[in-house]
Amino acid sequence: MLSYLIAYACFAIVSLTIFYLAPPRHRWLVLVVSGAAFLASVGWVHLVAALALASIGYIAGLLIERWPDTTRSKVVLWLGIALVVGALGLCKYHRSVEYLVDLVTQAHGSVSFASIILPLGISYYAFQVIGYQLEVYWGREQAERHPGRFAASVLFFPKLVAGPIERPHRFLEQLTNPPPFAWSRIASGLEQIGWGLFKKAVIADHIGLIIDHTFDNPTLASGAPLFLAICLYPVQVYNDFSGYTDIALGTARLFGFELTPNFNRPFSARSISDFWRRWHISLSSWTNDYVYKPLAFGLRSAPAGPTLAVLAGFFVLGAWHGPRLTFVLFGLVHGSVVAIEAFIRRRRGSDAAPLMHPRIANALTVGFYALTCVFFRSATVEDAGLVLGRAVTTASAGLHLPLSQLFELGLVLAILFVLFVARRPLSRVPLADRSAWVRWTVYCAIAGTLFFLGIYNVTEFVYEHF
Amino acid sequence: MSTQQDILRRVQSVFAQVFKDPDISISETTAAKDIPEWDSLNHTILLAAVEDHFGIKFALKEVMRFKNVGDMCVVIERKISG
Repeated sequence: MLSYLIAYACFAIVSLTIFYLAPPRHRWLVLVVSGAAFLASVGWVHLVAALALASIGYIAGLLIERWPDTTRSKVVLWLGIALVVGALGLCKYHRSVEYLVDLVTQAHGSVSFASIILPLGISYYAFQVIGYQLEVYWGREQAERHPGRFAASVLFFPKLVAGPIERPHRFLEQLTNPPPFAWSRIASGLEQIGWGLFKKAVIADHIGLIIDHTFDNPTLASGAPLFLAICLYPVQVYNDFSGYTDIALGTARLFGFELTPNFNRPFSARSISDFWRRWHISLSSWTNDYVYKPLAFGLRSAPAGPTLAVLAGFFVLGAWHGPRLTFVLFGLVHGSVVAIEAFIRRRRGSDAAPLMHPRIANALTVGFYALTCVFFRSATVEDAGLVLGRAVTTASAGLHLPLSQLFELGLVLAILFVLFVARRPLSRVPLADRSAWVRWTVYCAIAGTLFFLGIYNVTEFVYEHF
Repeated sequence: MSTQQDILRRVQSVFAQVFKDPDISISETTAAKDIPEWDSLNHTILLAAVEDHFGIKFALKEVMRFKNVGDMCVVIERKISG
């Protein structure tokens, strides 16, 4: 992780220098070359995949706009989406295809795609390209005519590893109308990067030391350690993913771009519907805009139409994470709850008193999310059942953690407590608006914590795998 | 009263019915962000209710381009006059 960070920092500094030295009208080229170099450093297939999907999106957008409101544009749209989904499916879901083929042929290993690798970031930019084609088809956005600028919107390297799933026009508008250079933006970007590193290396990876082995070996764990793992995993994944997102958004801000935020205090949600407006926002808003809304409209006359549309949206949201039944179940369970919540809201009316105290609603929401995270984290449904079952049936077993893990637990709880205490004053007056000595005290505290407590032998982010 | 104003008045009555608020007031610039209850589910219910009220059918492309109530009224007028 440390060598990765150093390499990333050097790469970003070089790219930034060239970016700001380049004339504004040529900056798209710097972004394309830096993104291409970033992908090529991982492997040429990763670059080829990104360029291929970018090309499909670019050409489809132009043709759709060339033949507005015609059958031809509809054909191009569906072909463009099919090609992108096909590429994503082949790279990501080939095991599911192998399984289905075996099921149909009643033979094992009748087809194998074992040599297919998952191109870096394909899950993110594939959805970006699909959304772009739909926006052009619906006439809500114009097709980008400049191939280089479109390529820059796909290959922008800060968002390649794990998103966010950016809306292309939002990025392209910023490329067209870049803000003037400002040191305050550089400072803000660096601050967000530092904060993201803190979340990942100090919080998420320390929690991983405590609980990763529990999920990986559910038959060996019992009672309190399992319960602890269930409670801490959402905190781990939040800090891992939001930490990555902070690094991505912070790096993008150094270039003068504001990417889509992915989180908005998700653990303050008071319903699952509210939770998904705050968690992985770029994905949940994507499925809402491009799966739920069109389907709900198409099925509006059917009695259960909107409900089916909700389930379809959450099916896609779950399945997006990977070819595992646990992901699909995760999505469908959440979708079911969202549908139930919508039904209750509609029946009770908007001016009805809340069903329960906000803090209870919040606790239930977070608790529900933590329980469903067991499916998200487990490799199989059986493992998830094992974790949940043993957490209950062996609850009387004590918290027998090795001393090192007890230390980790104490450290994590202490850090979370400090952050919990600090959140209210910081939400009233953001850090950027505080006096210099307060800001620099916090910066030094973060830097010191990163230096002394950061874990740098975990080289990957959780959401990098999706 | 102009056709557009009449359409807006009738759309307002549909809003009142869908959001169960007889005192609701909308204008051509009213959008989803202006009404807290106007979420994705109520949006679909609202569109279906508007279609039933005016005896028209929206196309998906038309609906996806609605930025506010005014855009909806323009399409309604085109359909009922056309």
